[in-house]
Amino acid sequence: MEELGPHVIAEFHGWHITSTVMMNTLLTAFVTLVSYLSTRRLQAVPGRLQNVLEAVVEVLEGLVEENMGEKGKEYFPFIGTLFLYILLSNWMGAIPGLHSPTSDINVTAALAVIVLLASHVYGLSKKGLAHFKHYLEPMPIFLPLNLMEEVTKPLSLAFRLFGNVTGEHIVVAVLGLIVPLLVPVPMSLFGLFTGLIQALVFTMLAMVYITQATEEE
Amino acid sequence: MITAKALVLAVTILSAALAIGLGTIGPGLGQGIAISRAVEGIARQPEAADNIRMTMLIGIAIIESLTIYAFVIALVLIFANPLLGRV
Repeated sequence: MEELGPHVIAEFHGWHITSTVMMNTLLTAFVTLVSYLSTRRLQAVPGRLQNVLEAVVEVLEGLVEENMGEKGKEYFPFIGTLFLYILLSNWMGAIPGLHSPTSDINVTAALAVIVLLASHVYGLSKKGLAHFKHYLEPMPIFLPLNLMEEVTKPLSLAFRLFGNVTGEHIVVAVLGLIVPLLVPVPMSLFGLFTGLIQALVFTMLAMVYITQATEEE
Repeated sequence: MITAKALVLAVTILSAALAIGLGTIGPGLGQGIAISRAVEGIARQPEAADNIRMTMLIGIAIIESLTIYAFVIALVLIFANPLLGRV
C-alpha cells in the first residue's frame, strides 16, 4: 500500500520529478502523437485513424451542444480537452506498470482550479463586471453562502475525481493481494466504466458552472 | 498502560471504518430511490430509455461523491493522519 500517492522518481535542480509528472508527460505525448498522425494528411474520405478521431470529436461536440446549446460551441475546445484528458488518465491506470495521473490529488485539484478560473474568465469576458453581480443573488444576504460556494465547488470536483480513481485502484490492489488470478479483472473492467462516468460527470459539472457564469438574464 | 499514540491509532482506525460505513448508508438509500424511479420511468416510456439512463448515471455519480468524501476522509485518517504528529 506504500504506492498510494505520487512518489519522487528523480530530482532535477531541486525540482522533484514525481511519477505523476512522468505519467502526465507520457499521456500528453501519446495524445499529441495520435492527433498528429491522424491529422497529418486530412482527407475527405477519412482513413482509419482519422475516422476514429472524427467520431470522438463528433460525440464530444454533441455532448457540449446538448448541455450548453448552440452557444456552447466556443467552449468546446476547453471542455473537449478536459474530457479527453480525464478519460484517458482514468483509463491509464488499467494498464499494468502505469498509473492514473488523476489518482494524485494535486492533479485533480489543479483541474478543479482550472475549471473555476475558466468559469470566471468566461463570465468576465461575456458580461464584464456585471459577472460579479451573481454573488448578490437572489438576495444580498446570500453573499456569504455564494462566496462559500466558490470554495466548495472546486473542492468537491477535486475530491470526487480523486476519490473515485483512487478507490478503484485500492479495490483492485486489495483484490490482487488476496486472489491474484482473474478475480481483479471484473473490478478492473468496472473501473473503466467508472472512469468514463467520472470523466463525464466532471465535464458535465464544468459545463454547468460555465453556463451559470455566462448566461444572460 | 495505553500510550497516547496507541490510543490515537485505535481511535483513528475506528473512525476511518465508521466514516466509510456510515457514509455509505445515505448515498446507498439515495441511489436506490434514484434507480427505482429511473426503472419506473423506463418501464413506462421505453422510448426515453437512453435519456433516462444517461441522466440516472450522472445523478448516481454525483450522489456517489458523498460516499467518496467519506472515503477520502478515511484515506486521510489512515495514510496521512494529521493527529499522529501531535502525540
